[in-house]
Amino acid sequence: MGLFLLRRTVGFILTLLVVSVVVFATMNILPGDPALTILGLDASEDALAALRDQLGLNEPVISRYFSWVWNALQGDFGISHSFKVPVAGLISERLPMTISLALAGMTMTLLIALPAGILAASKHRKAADWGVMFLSQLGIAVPAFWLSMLLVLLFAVKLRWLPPGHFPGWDDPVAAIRALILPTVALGLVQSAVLARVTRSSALEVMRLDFVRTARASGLSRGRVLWQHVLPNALVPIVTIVGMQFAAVVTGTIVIENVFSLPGLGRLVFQSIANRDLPTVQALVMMFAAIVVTANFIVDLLYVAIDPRLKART
Amino acid sequence: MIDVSNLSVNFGPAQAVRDASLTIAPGARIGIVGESGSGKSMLGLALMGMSPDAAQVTGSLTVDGTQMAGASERDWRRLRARRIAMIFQEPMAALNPLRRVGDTVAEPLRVHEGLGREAALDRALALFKEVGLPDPAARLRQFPHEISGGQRQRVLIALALACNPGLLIADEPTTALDANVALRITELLTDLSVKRQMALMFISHDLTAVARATTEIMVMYGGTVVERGPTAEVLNAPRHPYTKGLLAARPRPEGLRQSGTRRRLPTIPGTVPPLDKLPPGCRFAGRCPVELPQCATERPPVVANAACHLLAQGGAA
Repeated sequence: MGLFLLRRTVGFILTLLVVSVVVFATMNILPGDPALTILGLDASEDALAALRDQLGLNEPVISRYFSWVWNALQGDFGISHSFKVPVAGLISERLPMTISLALAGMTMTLLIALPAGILAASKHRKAADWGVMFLSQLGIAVPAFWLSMLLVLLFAVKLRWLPPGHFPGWDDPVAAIRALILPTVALGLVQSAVLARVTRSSALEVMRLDFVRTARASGLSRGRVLWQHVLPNALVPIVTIVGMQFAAVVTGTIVIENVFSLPGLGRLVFQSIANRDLPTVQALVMMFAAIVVTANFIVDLLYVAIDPRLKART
Repeated sequence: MIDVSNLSVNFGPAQAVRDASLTIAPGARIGIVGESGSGKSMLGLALMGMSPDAAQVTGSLTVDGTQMAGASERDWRRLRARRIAMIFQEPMAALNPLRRVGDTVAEPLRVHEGLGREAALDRALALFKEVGLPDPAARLRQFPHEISGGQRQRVLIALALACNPGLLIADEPTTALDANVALRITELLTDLSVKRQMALMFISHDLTAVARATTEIMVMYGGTVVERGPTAEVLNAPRHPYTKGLLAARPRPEGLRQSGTRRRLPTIPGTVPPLDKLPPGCRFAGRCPVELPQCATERPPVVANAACHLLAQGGAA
């Protein structure tokens, strides 16, 4: 177990290192001169040269990479070209927004998908199963941005139940939660459609196993057999997909935050790419990658928590 | 305790069990023997109300005087574990791999008897001792993959005994086990049945195990009961041609070494046909060495506990 943890932790760190190299390399082979972007096309050659020097663009790539990593490790991601403030501050202001949106979306996904998938499996080839399969097919087919626009039109514009966008801040929690409902639904609905199907097929697989018959023969109720015996045994593939979905949800916030004009990382990504704000983009991509890698690391740990047989093998 | 008459389990036109009747008195030990596909497991599942969804079950089935034919899942659930319990063939697959075996055995006690976790685990410990698990206290906290096949089967027996059922149905309980482990499980089931005054329905194709564990026997072929009677009588003096064939096909130590020459085991010619291809009359028709013209089309009458046209006419198979 200890060895397993150590191996996974080393893997986790190595992955982040590789990601940092890729991110840095990509940003530095992109066409476009940051100095030109900042100062404008009319800038004099002297001014441009001075700025390039100040930005450290004249140093060799390798040393720029190491100083970027070294500073990033200390929480310094440089100064944003467009906002003229430290990137770290920009990110830490917006991170809670994005994380709460992603967690809300993921929670909703689980709350919808697990019961729906278990229901479909327990009513295999009956009306409820067909219903879940049809709705999930529909959910998979609908693009998230289009769904969110429809939701805004219906619940915000027509019915006026919920605000169409903008985030009032956490000072007024009720208003804040109301503002998050539509984005959460837009983010979670598609994912729950996918996960419901995974849950269903995984549960169906488990329901064929002998211990389910033993549980029934012990006089346990259908619900108890499903939730306490079938679901835990169906969890390994479900957790795998949830890990991947968390990544999709985090990146999905880029679109959703823009549709609902929420002040999160996703919106910052858009703005900084549009402004060729290299340090900010670089830090953000690294940030998203770190969130995804962390999610997968947690999934690895969950496998062992779920299945004692894996513990024996690792 | 249990009365079954003319019980049939059908899958559309295919009959897995045809008109089976039996009575199980409290404490009785009944063996059901037959090849795979003879309907013996289907009969066992029907007594638990656990026939597959696709099956149609007809006939009469009373438990403690209550008619259970057509009963709802909810009604059956009240009987399972508390009146009738069942153990199955594959002890590895029959236990939830993610649960400590102590918790598995404690679960029905908590659900049916409302015991708290500690009290239920105490009872599980007592059950583990009763089924002869070595070091029972340590076993409680182990997972199925950490114990041997024979121990798993003992855990499953403890689980089945948890709510003191009046009948234990053991479906091929020894088939997946080594011979010496199988023997000990057979002895354990017999002892438990005697000590607890609990009826035992021992379903197996292993005639030696059935001979040890039971006092009565039912021989099934193609979903029908072809012969029944006291175990010793049926096994020592079989009357039905199928029972004779089955007994002759049993390997015996004296048959294996006869002055250096190997004696071939006699076999029953042919194989059991698929359920929907069985002859409408006697199911054994077509493979029977002493078949009469009417056998394939007319159902054989039951005379002196054997269902056979030839015996009914006073012939000897």
